[in-house]
Amino acid sequence: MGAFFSNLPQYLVNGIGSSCVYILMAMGFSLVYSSTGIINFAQGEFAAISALVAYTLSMDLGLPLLLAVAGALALTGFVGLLLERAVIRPLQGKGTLTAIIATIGASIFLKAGARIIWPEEAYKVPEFTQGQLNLPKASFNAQLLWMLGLTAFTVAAMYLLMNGTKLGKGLRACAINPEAARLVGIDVSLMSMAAFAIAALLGGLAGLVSAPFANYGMGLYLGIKGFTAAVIGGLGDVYGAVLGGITVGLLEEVVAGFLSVVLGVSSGYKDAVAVILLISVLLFRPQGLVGKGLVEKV
Amino acid sequence: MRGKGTVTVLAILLVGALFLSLFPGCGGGEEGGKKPIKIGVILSESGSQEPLGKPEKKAIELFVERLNAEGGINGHPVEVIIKDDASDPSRALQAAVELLDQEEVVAIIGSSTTGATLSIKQETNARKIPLISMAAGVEIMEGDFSYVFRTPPTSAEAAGKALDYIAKVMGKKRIAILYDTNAFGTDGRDTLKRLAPGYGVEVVAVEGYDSNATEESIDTHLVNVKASNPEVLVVWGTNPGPAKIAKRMKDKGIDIPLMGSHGIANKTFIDLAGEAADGVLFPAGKMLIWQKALKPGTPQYELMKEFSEAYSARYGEQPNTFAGHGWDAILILTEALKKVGADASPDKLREAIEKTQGLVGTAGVFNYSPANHNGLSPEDLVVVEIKNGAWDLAPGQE
Repeated sequence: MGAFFSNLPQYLVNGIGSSCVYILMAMGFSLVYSSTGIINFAQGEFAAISALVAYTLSMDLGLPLLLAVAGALALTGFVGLLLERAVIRPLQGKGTLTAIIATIGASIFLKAGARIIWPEEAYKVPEFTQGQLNLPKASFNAQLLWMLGLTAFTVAAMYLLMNGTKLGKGLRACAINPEAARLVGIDVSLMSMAAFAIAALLGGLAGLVSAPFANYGMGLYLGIKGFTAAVIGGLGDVYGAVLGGITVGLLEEVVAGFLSVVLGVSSGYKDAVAVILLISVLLFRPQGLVGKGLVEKV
Repeated sequence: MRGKGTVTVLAILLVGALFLSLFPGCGGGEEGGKKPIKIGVILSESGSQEPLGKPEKKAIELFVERLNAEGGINGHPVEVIIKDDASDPSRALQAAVELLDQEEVVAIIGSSTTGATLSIKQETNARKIPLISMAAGVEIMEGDFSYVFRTPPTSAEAAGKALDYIAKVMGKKRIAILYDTNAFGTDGRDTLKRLAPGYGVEVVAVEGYDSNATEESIDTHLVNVKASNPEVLVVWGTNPGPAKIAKRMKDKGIDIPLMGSHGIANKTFIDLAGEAADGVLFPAGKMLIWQKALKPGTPQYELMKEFSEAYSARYGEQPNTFAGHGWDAILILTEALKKVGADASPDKLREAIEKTQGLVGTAGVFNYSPANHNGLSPEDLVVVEIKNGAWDLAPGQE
């Protein structure tokens, strides 16, 4: 038990690092769900594509890291936009379930496409900052500061976007009642496209900060974690995504540490934490820990 | 009358020529015309496992060209019919049925992956046809394995070599295992835990990780295993997980020796881990560093030299481990055919393969027995150390 408590600060620091990635993913899921009613199962692929494009731009083409990152984000945003126009839009009026299934197809398509372009087991994506920072009770990669900073900035930006701009109000209006939104002159189709493009940017950012290694299959892992975080947060606003991301990220590391150090059980069960959380929330509190979204919809 | 006779003779000649042309084997006449021996080959020439199937195919084709140039098997030329399963087990099964129904092959070599091998095994077992696989999964030898053999080393040989090196050369007794939660990693974990007591090694901690987990998540595993004070950290997984672990250990200044698995016996690991790869140890077939691991004059050194020269002369590239697995598979099969002859029944052929003893291949010395269809032993592997981004023979193995 003593070893567990002396390791606890390190577990928490590690959990915060993972949380950042999960929060970014969860915001992508929540945004698309709350403005279109669709769970986008291709959300994880945005992360993979963006990280792999960043690899190609920086390592193969030799662009400076900042340009490579910007290019990767722009391209991923464009993929999100294209996904909405090519897959979601033609299915308008066929029901959200059809669209959700279509996103599963899109996910398989994007993964297979990425595998053709990037067939190796993994690629090394440059880190924003190299180095290691040591605190008395914990040490972490300097990249963690970037993760924290970028996540905080993105959360703030998303909050302002959703609550302070016309676009955000339009997105929220579509979530509450698309018909009424259309009647008052909101371009519902444009909102749907914007939601997918922004979600792609969020997923892309998650992929970039979770560097340094990327491969075509990484989207599934990040997608499951992000989806869980989003559901825990109620698939609604920015708060929910942040709460969900932190819950999953911290619990995973602390539970893994507890299982291993205190109980001596292999923490191969770490990934089960997210799945158990997901099922419990769906069973006992389907509206999420803070949300009211799902119940209102049904 | 004379006119009629000439017509008859011409007619007979014409019919005879037509008849002969139906049997191209007889037409040429010069080779003596012994019936070819047909061998079916199924491998993953396309799809996700292309990096395995391509070199395997090249090695098998090269082997057969050379064998036929030397007169084949007792005068019978060998004909290989190669089918691509596109890395898909269901296509592998279909290919096996086609080879057995339409081509009537005497045996099948295949496939590149464990999943595809299992598909083919159903069919070859049912028809009692020998199968030589180039895949390493444990599942292949589960159930009835009397008709299936394989050429690559498995987790048992690799884990045995790693433990042997840890206990005898490094003189360490306490290991922690970090394994990838995929099939490769869990198989390795089970094998390590099973074999460790036999080498006097104690497993003090076992942790599973996901290869795609964040770096911070990997840190938690490192903190956990450090709590049990292991002397060596054994990391059993495929890329990129072990590279992530090596990098985080270097970043955090954890200087416990890292023993990897044959899953990182590739350049990708060195590319990914960069400087953190230095000092990493892993068990691998001697072929990986054969100039360093084998002594000139030994049969395996001479075989590797011959194979590597022939392969690079033909294809303009060095053969890799997978090419070696293909070479070994066709070598084992043709050696058995030489013993039993071209007309032997599949059962006789199976027995001959099972009796293979001391056959030197690229992966090592093959010894099959009724209880063991894996063929290799831990002595066929060496522990490799990464030094300045290159592979070297780890110390203490001369």
